[in-house]
Amino acid sequence: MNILKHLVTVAIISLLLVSCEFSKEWNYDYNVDINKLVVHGFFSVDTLIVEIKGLKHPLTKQSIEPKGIVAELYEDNLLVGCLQKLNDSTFTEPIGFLPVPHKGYWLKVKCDNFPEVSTMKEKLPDMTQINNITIDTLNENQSKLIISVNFNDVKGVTNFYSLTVYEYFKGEVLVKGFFNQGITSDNTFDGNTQNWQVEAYKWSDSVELYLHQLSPYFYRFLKSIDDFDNSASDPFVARPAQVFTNVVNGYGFFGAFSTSQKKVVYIKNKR
Amino acid sequence: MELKLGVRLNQFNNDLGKVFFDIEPRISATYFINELSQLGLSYTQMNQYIHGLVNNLGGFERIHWFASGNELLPQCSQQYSLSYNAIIKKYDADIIAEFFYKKSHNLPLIKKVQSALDYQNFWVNRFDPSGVGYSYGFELLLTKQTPRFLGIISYTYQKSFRRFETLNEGKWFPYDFDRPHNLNIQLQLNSKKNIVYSATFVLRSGTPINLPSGIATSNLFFSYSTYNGYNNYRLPVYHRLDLSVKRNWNTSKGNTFSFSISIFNAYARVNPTAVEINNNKLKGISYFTIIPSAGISYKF
Repeated sequence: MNILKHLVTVAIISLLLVSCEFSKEWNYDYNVDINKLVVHGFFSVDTLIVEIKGLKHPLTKQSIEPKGIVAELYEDNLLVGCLQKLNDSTFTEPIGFLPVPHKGYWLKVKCDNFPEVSTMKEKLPDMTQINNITIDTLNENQSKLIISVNFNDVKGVTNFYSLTVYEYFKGEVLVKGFFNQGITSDNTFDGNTQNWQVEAYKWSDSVELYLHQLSPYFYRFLKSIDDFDNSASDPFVARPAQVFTNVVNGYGFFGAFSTSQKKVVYIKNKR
Repeated sequence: MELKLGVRLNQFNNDLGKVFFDIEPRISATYFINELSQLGLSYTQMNQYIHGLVNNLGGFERIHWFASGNELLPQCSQQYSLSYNAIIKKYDADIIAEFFYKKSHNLPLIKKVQSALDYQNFWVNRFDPSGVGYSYGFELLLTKQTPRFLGIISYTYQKSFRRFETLNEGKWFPYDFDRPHNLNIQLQLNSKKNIVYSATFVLRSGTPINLPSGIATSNLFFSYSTYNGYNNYRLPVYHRLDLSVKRNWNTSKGNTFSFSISIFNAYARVNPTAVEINNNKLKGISYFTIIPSAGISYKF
């Protein structure tokens, strides 16, 4: 009987030791959207740019290359035409395309090795003009000056704005990128005159300013990209922010924007 | 048949002078089927004035506590339950079965900071108090106790969902507490030699977590991770076995001296609390595998 007890004890201890594991890896077997298309696109009065790619695998960072892409542009329910291919993933407007105000535009993208996707309708927003531009600070002890961009917001309509600023020094652009001064909605200044302040180095030769009015989807996408970026670095936020999409059966967005006429401030003359 | 009615009056004052006053009614009805079994029905309303908001950083859960105020209203919940209790005399055992449904509102969520550089307003507009939630399930508890043996088996099936206006496009998603299966088995044997052997086995469904469904790349905008829903993945099943042996000695003065040896997670199961990406694979992060320990105690 005693021998049996010892045997059982040894067997239990052996089983426990055998089942011990000190590290473990799992296969990535949850629902990965590797077979979804990503469409990023926007249009204005004179431009339409659409980028179409396959979603990358979150671990391997590999993606399937879409083959035989046909991107159709629709005006409300009428086909305008197929987008022209600029390179493997970038497309531009059909020949002769000019967006009409208050008409809804959307895309349908088909390709051989991905399910078809479509975007939601988007309209060209109204154009807001810059009233005037003032330079608020020209202090000898400060390296930067503040430029105020003044414009009127239309009352009773939710408007979304962005600003692009290009600083030039000896013919080179110091700050690149479109919409590089962020985005805002008119929640706090609906129907009022707004001053949007930006900074520029006072040794710049000149500063070019463009005021954009964004469509709602475009604003939501840019806002969610910003939220996504911030949520990753905020230790108090428990969940990652999701980037907005208006692409049905895929990811990305299709939006529109209008741009005011270019305003140029010549800093050299102010110095 | 027994009917109990009750009411609880709450007042909560926060440091900023905000006062909350709530009435919490509760009612329970018990129907005695016979001497050994009964059926119960109950309704309870509860308010919670201190909010514990949890996030998980690198596998360590952190709870941030906030008092109710203008932005954060007291969490309010109502719970309904139907229960059945019985004593099985033949086996010296008790059985309890309970179905429950709980709904809550004013559940908070921490939003991203408006401006990371604006420290004075770091907590301004940081909460989304629009959360609503519900959970439901059933619990089964079986207990057998004799002078030498104690056995407890409990199983809970429960689902938990939440919805916030500013999250997941306002859609419902399984909340962090959504761990459907929970099994606990506890066995304790008292030998004649003043030795107590005990074993506890715990098994529960993995915690829901967020993992990207893909990465969207763009030459026009920077790359970002995509998600096909919140809490779209579940960590592997959590289970472990804890063992312990305790020997008691009674001293001549009537005091008790005891020595115990215990092993937490006896088969060193890797129960990850978070995951990381390593060599194109998901790797579970687990900080505690097997933990043996020994202790002595003296009662006087």
